[in-house]
Amino acid sequence: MRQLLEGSRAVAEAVRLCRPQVIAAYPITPQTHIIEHLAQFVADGELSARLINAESEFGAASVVLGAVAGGTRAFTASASQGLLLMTEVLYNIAGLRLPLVMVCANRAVGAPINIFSDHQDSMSVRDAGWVQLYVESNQEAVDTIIQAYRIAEACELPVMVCMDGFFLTHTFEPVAIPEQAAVDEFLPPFQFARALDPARPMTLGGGSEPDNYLEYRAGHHQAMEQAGEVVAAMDTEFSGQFGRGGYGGLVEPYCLEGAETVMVTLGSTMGAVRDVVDRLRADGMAVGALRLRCFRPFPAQVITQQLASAARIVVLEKAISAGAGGIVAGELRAALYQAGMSAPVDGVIGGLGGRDLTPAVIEAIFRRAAAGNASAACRFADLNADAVPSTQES
Amino acid sequence: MYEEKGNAANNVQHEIRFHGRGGQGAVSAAALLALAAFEDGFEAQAFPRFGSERRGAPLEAYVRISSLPIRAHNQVYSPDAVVIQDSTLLHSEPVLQGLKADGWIILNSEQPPADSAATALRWIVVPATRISEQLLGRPLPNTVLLGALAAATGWVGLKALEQVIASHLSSKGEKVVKANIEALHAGYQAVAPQQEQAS
Amino acid sequence: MDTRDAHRHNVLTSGHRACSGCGEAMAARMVTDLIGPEAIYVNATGCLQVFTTHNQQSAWQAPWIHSVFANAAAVASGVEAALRARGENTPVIVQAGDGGTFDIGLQCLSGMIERGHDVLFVCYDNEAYMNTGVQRSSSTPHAVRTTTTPPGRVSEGKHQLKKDLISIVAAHRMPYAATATVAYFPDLKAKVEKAMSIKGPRFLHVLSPCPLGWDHDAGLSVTVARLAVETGLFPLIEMEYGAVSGVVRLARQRPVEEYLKLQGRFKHLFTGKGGAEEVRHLQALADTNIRRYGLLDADTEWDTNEASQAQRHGRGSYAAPGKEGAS
Repeated sequence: MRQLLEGSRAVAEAVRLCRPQVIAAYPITPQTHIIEHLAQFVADGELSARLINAESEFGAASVVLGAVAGGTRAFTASASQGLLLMTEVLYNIAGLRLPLVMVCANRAVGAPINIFSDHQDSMSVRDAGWVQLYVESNQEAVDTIIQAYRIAEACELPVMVCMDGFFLTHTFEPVAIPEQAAVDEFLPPFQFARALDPARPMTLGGGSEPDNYLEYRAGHHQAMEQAGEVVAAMDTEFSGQFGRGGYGGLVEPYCLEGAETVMVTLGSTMGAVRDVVDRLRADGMAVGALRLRCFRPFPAQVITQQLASAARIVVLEKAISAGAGGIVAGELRAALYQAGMSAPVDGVIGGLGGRDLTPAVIEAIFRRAAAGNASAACRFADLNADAVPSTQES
Repeated sequence: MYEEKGNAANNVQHEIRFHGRGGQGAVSAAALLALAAFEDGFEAQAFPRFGSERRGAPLEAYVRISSLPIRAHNQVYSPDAVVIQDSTLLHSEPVLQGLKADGWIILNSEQPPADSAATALRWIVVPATRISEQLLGRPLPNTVLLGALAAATGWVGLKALEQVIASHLSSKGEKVVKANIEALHAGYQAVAPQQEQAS
Repeated sequence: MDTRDAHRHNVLTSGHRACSGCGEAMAARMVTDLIGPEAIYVNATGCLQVFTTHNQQSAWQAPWIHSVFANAAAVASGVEAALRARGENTPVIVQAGDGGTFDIGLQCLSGMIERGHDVLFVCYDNEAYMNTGVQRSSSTPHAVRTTTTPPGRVSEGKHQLKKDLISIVAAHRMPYAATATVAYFPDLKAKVEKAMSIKGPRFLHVLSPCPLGWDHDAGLSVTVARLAVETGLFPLIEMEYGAVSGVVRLARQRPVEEYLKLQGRFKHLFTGKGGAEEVRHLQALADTNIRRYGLLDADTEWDTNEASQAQRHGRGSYAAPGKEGAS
C-alpha cells in the first residue's frame, strides 16, 4: 500500500526492514533525517539495533567496518564533507571485501561550503572499490537498499546507494514500504564467512607486498565486474517478488526507439528529463534518454548496446574533475571508443551545488545537441558567465 | 538567466508554493497539503527549499498535485497558488514571482495590501494568526491557511485535510487535534464570504 | 570600522543571521569584542560559521578563515606557525562549537595543545549539533532530548553524561583553561583578558544557550545560562597546568528543576514515569560538581551575585582595563 512519506523516512523504513544490528552515523545535512528516524525506531523498541552516534564520519565508517567484521549487518549514511572524511575507511572496507551498505545523500563538496545536491561526493570516491548505484526516486531508494544488502552479501563487496540530497531525501512522495515478511524472504539472515570469531580465527587487514598486491587488486576488479550481473539479477528478482520496480538493472532506457539524440544522466534529474523527452517527441524531435543506475561497476557493454543507434549523445552530469571536465562523459567516451563507436558526445556539467536543472534548461541542452553543432568537450548548463570569478587581476 | 516556460507538457495539474519563516511550519503545511491530496487519490509531492536550521529565516516549500505520476523534482517556478504565512515577507522576498496570471494568493494578514485590487490575481486574505491565537492559543496560522486554500481553490477536500491533521497531530492529544480542525474550518469559512463577493 | 560605540569593536557586526536569542551570537560578540579586530580568527564549521558567512556575505570585521569541521585547531596551528615565522605577534583565535571541540574536533585540538601552539581556542557550547537540526554531541547533557537521542518507549533521551572536556583539555597541562558563560559577563571578561595575557595554548569553554535546540523562549537565554551555573550543572572554573586555580562561588545553590523546567529539551522528564529518576540523576551530577569544585564554600574573589552585577561594581564593561568604573 502506498503512503506519502519523506524520502529520508522511507529510507529509514527500508533500512529497518533489512534488520541491521549496528548503525553508526555522524550528522551531516542532508542525511540527518535518515538517522533521526532510525534513532526514533530504536528509542521506541521498533528496531533492535545499536545506534552509535559516532564522533565523526571517520569514526562512523570505522564503527560499521568493525560491526561487519564482527559478524552483523550494519548501516551508515553520509554525504559531502563527511563522505570524504570517511574516504580512507571506504577504501579499507572495500579492500577488506566487507559486505556493507551505506546511503550517500548526494551533496556538493566545499570549498565553497554548500549544503545542496550534486554528485561530487560520490563521484570523488568512485575508485574506492564500492558498488555505486544511483536512484531516481524515493521508491527506487527503498527498493535498491533492500537489493543492495543482497548484492553486498552475495559479492562480499560494499554497496553505496546514492540519492540526491533534498531533491529526494527531503521530498514527500508516494512510496510503497514492503512488509517485513516479504523482505525477510528476499533477504536472508546475515552470514559472513570471514567474521572475527575465536572458533575460526582469521587475520583481517594484514600486509601485502609487491609480489601479491597486483593480483589482489585484479581480483577485486574482477569481482566488481561480476557484481554487475548480480546488480541486474537482484533488480529482476526483486521486481518479480514484489511486483513493482524493475529499474533496468544497470541502466534504464527511456524512449530510445528511433532516438537520434540521446541524453545520458544519473539520479533524480531523470524525472525532468522524461518530461522533456515526452514534450520534444510530441514536437517531432527524435530524442531519448538513458539513465545510468549502476555507475560502479561501469556497465560499458550495456551502455554501448543501448546507444548503438544514437547519432549524437549528450551527457548531463552533476560533478566535475576540475581541469579535465566531466567524469561520466569521460568514461562514456572511453567505452564508446573501445566499442569502435564514433557518435559525438556532448559533455555538459550542470546542477552543481543544488542549481536546479529545470525542464527549460534540459530542453535547451537537447536542442543544442540535436542541432548538430560540434560537440563540446565540456560545457556548463545554465552558466551565468558574468558571475564567473576571473583569475585575472583587473 | 532562464525562464521557466510552464508545465503544459508535464501533466502536473496544480503547483503551490508556500512562503514562511523557520518555525512557522511552512514545511509541515506543505506536507499536510500533499498528504491530503494523496488521501483524495491524487499523486502528490512536497518538499522544502531551505538551508540550515534557523528560526525566523525566510523559507519556501513546494507542493505538486496531479492525476498522473509526478516524475520531476524541480522547484516550483510557475505556481498556480502561493500561500504566504507571514505578511512581512511581501516586502522582503519575491513571493509572487512566477505566479500564474490568474493565480491565487492566500495571505495571512488582517487586510489586503494596498495595490492588490489592481491586479487580476486572486487575493484571499485571512487573519490566520488572529484566528489561530483564538482557537489554538498560539500564533500558528498553518491549518487556518490550509482551510482557506481548500475553500478558495477546491483542489483538496476538507475531509481529507481533517484526516491528515488528525493523524499528524495525534501524538499531541485530542484537544490539540480538535482545536486544529476548528482552525481548519475557520479558515475554510473565512473564505466563503470573500468568494461570494467575488462572484 | 564600526564606530557606533566607542567601547565596541563589533568584530562580529550586525546583519548576521543568528536565531533571535542565540547564546552563541551573544558569546561570540562578547569574546571577539574583548579581543578586538587585531587577531586572526579561525572558525570551525557550525552555527557561528553558517550564520555569519551565509552565501557570499560576511559579518566579520577581522581576518577570518573557515576550512572544514574537524580541523580548526590544526589550521590555527598553521596560521600561528606562519605568523611567528614572520616575526608577528598577532593573536590567533579558534572559534568552534561543541561538535568541533568535543567530537570531530578533539583530535586536532589535542594536537594543537600538545605541540604548545600559541593559540586561544574558544568553544561556544550549545550542547548539540544545532546547525544540522539538533543532533546529540558528547557535550549534550544526560537525559536531554535531541533528534538522535529522542525519548521513546525504551529511552529517556541521551544516555551518556556530558563529556568532562575541561578536564581532558587541562590534562594536557597547558597554561590556561576556563569555563564561562553569557550570563556572567564580568567573569567572562576577566577570563578572556587573562587568556589573552598568556602565551601558549589556551582554552575557553563558553556555555551558549540555544533557544531552538534547548526549546526555550528566545528572551530567556541569559536566564537559562545563569541557572546552569547556579544549579551547579555548569561550574565556572579555571585550570592552570592541570590544576584548578579558581572557581566562582555560588551565592546560593538552586535545585536543578528550576533550570530543567524552562527548557523543552527536558520536558519528557516531567511527563513519563522514568523522568523523575533522571531528574534525580541530574541533581546528583550538580551536587557532585559542587562538592568536586567546592562551589559553595570556595574562598574566591567573587561569587555569582557579584559576577552578574556589572554596573554596580564597575567591572565588566568593554572599556579597556584602567577605564573600568568610567562607563
